[in-house]
Amino acid sequence: MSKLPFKTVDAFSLTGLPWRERFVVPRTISDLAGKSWMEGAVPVLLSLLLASLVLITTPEITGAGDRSLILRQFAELGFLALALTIVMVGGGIDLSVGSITGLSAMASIILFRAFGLPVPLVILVALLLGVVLGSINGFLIAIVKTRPFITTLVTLLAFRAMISVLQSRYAADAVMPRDDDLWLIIGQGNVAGFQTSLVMFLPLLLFTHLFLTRSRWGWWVTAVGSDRRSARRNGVPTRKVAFLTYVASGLLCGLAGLILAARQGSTSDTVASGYEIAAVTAVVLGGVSLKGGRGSAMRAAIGALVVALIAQAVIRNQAPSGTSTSILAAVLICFAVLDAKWNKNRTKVTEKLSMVPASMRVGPLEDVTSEDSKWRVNFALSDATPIGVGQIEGAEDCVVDDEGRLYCGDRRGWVWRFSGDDLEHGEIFARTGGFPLGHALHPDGRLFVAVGGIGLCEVSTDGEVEVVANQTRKSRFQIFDDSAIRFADDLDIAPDGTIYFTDASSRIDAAEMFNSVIEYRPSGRVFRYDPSDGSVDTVIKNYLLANGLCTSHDGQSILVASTGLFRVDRLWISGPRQGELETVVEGLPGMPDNINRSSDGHYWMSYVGMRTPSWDLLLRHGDVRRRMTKELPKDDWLNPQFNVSCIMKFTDDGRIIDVLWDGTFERHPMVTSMSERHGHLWIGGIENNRIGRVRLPEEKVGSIDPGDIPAWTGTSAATRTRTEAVTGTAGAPEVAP
Amino acid sequence: MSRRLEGVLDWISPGRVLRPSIPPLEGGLRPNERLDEARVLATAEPFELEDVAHHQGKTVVSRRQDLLTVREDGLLESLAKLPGRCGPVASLGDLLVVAVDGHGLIAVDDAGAQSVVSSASLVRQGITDLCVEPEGTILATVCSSTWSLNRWSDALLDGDCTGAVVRVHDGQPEVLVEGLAWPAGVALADGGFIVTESLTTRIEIVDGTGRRERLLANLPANPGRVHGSGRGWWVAAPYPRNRLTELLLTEPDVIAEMREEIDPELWMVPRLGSRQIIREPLQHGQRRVLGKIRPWAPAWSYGLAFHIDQRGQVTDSLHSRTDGTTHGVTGVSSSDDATVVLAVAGSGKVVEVEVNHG
Repeated sequence: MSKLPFKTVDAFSLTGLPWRERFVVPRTISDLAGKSWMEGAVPVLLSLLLASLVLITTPEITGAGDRSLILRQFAELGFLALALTIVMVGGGIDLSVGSITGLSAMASIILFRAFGLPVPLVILVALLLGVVLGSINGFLIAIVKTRPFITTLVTLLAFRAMISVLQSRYAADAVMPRDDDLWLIIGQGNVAGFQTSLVMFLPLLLFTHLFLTRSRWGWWVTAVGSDRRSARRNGVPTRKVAFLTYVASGLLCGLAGLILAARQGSTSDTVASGYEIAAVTAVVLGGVSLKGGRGSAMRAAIGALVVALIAQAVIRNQAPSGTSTSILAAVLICFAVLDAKWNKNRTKVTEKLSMVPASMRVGPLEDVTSEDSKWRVNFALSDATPIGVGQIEGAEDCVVDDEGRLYCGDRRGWVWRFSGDDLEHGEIFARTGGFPLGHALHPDGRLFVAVGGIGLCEVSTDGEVEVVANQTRKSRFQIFDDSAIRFADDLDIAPDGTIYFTDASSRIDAAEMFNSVIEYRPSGRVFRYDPSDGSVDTVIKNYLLANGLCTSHDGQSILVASTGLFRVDRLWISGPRQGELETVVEGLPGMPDNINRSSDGHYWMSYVGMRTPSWDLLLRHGDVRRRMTKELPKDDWLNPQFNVSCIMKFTDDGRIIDVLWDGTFERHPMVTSMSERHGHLWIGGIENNRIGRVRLPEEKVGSIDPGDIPAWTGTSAATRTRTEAVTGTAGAPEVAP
Repeated sequence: MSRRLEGVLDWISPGRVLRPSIPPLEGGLRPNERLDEARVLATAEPFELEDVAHHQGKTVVSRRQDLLTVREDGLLESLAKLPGRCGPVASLGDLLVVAVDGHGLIAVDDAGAQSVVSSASLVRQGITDLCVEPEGTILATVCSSTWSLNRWSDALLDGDCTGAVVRVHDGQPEVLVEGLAWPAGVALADGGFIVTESLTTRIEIVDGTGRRERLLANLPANPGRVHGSGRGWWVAAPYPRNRLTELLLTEPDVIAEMREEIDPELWMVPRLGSRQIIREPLQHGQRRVLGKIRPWAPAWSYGLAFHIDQRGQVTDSLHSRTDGTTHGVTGVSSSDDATVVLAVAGSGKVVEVEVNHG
């Protein structure tokens, strides 16, 4: 339950896109295809289609008599399908399922009729026989390490030969019918109105499903089937697992044989012949991968049902013998191809369709080069003192503490700290593991960092990193899982101690930030993190490339910059207008990045790059940008003008009162941040090799310390204790009354 | 739909492709920094230089309306001021012939006195290159009958092919070849002449009977002026080909809107050099990363001149890469086998490079 005092603001309308653009069909397909359950969904869907085709062409098989025949066959085939599923998920194949079933059936009928053994003993022997035959397969494949396919092909023939031997030796003695209630119940009877075989099959199906998906052994089977080597290195007893899959298969086939014997009472040596192909077709229809590691018992059972339907339909149509096998073979080959192609190309489809650039019409572009423009290029930043050249790689944001030490990010995941008179001493202060983007110092000395790829991190005064927020609640009615915070970008601390931070895109990771600039879909968000209970609430959603964020001077609102819409908005976080989003400034000539307070009561904002007429033009042509991303190498994609950027100062009511450029266009490209402290302006660049320090003219420095949180009420740690807390010499921050 | 059909047809018959993929710079065109390292003979404002020629031991360049000689001390000394913008320059005996846009071919003597060689309408504008034949006749390339000299990018967007090669004999022009896609350079060859086609990035040899034979095709840059040198030719290549441009050429809507709304200097097309970087398009690879622009990035402007032999093999090349500054080579000339002098319009430089063959 959200404890946000106001409703999440939907900023989609700011883009000016029509309502239907909220749904992007190719992207939705991509989202769907990316779901793990889609792996089996397509084969199952197709097999259900196949089943409806059968039902439409041969509707008479839905009659009561046919129905019971189908269900009977479904159950018998189901045992074999389960057997094969276990073996195939374990990375093998068992072609001898039909022969084991046949041998078990032949043995059962001979023991029952020729030897007159009691039925429970017959059951026991049949099951044991299955186990023994399965063990032969298992021994050869798992212990001797023969190939599963050829081994079970050989045992298929061997067991089939044994059936013939048994048949010729005992068939004459086994024609005598014998009455036995239990035998009758197994073969023909009903339990609670259902056929015995079905009653036995369904719990077994449930058990196998739970076994494969929920038990340690089931996971081991899957692991061995996915990658035998990895499984072994992770301590899975691969040989034992592989061996036991064949034993389990044998056991299930033994059971199937017993039921078959009790039902048919046939002593023909063709008993259960051709069951292999029916069983293999059933599991492949059910989406069990022939390559191992993937498959489910439930889906295999659906496959078995479809095969049973097809078989019955063939009988109904009085087709010549062999038709059934031919049809099954045809279906099998189609689904085997699907199995090979679908899972191989699924990720490719997902990737191809995931980026669908939007066609966005943006406002007129002011010519910043014209003589009378307030944007006229100057050299205010050109003489910035470089800090950290040779050390820093890509410091998106920086912050300066009370002592004048500089903290900044690095694309390798580090947070640098520079100290000394000229900040010549750089050290890696913390390692985040992501891409540190926004930085903010808490009054008690902790450093909060918005880390792209991770979320919100807290760095203690001695450099210990703790992830405090990396996910939020998943949006409702959304296929794509947007609960992860992929692109935390900038942050600031509100007067009550909550932390507001931006997420430039809920779909694209910070590592692929340029893709989000090409895509131009409003999926950015602004979050509020509440340190009191660790909750993360969305305050603004569907905000295009949410980037800079700053608490206003009065502490009643936050300012948020949209890099994509060239605008700054204000969200009221307290006071009478709480929860309202209002425009501060729009139609800017560049792509805004971070915002920070200035000492004279205004705000600094940097531009990561400038708009160009060409960029505005291609923004209108999403289809062309899509073609561009597909047909050209990334280096050839059109971008905004990133090699040129500037910093501006604006007031609370959106007036631009100062513009600073590096007129050389060489030292500070892609200015992503600036922060004012101690009479200097510190300039960061996401792809630059330095932080620049510019001394501000005296008349432009005011009395406010931009490092203070406005109207601070959050915790009782008083400002005066901050210095000690930062240096760590005073131990735990002092708590004022 | 039609683009799909085109795709299928291209697949069936790769030879019909209008713009085959841009070949990499390799073999003789392997990149180097020789243009950036070259000796600068003189400098001018960017985009003002046109052509360079050797005439009686002096190096002559055309700049705006002036013909200038390059002095030893690096200054440019005026030889003559002409009534219009000067284009190509060629040496004709004691005289210099220069094509003046809007006026025709004008001969200038050592004292700077001017005389009109031809002001026939055919050669009055759009002359991209000149060369003098042994008989004293002049070969001239006319870029287009639709677009003027400074509208190369328009011609590129149109796929213009209304250019021609003409021979001027006693002041009378005679069309030798027409229907060329912005012919930009002409020089003598065995039994005929060599002509470069900028828009189709081809170099052809035309013999005395007018038969055209392809010497080179699908170059990675748009070739420009040519200068015969020893057993081959030096070719200036003012514009690099750009993959993004060639993709956009198949998007008529974008092209139409670009022409309608955007200043031609800011178009997404190759250029001689950067004029106002703030509003010019940028490609992803051209970003300045960690203080540096990657030399191998795709380029809107590039510095390139290369030497080809009689068989069309590129034997030598001079480059200024994406991160370089000596972009937009428009004129090329050499007086001996050891050096070649280039007029680099994009950066406003006349440079001399030592080469080791003719």
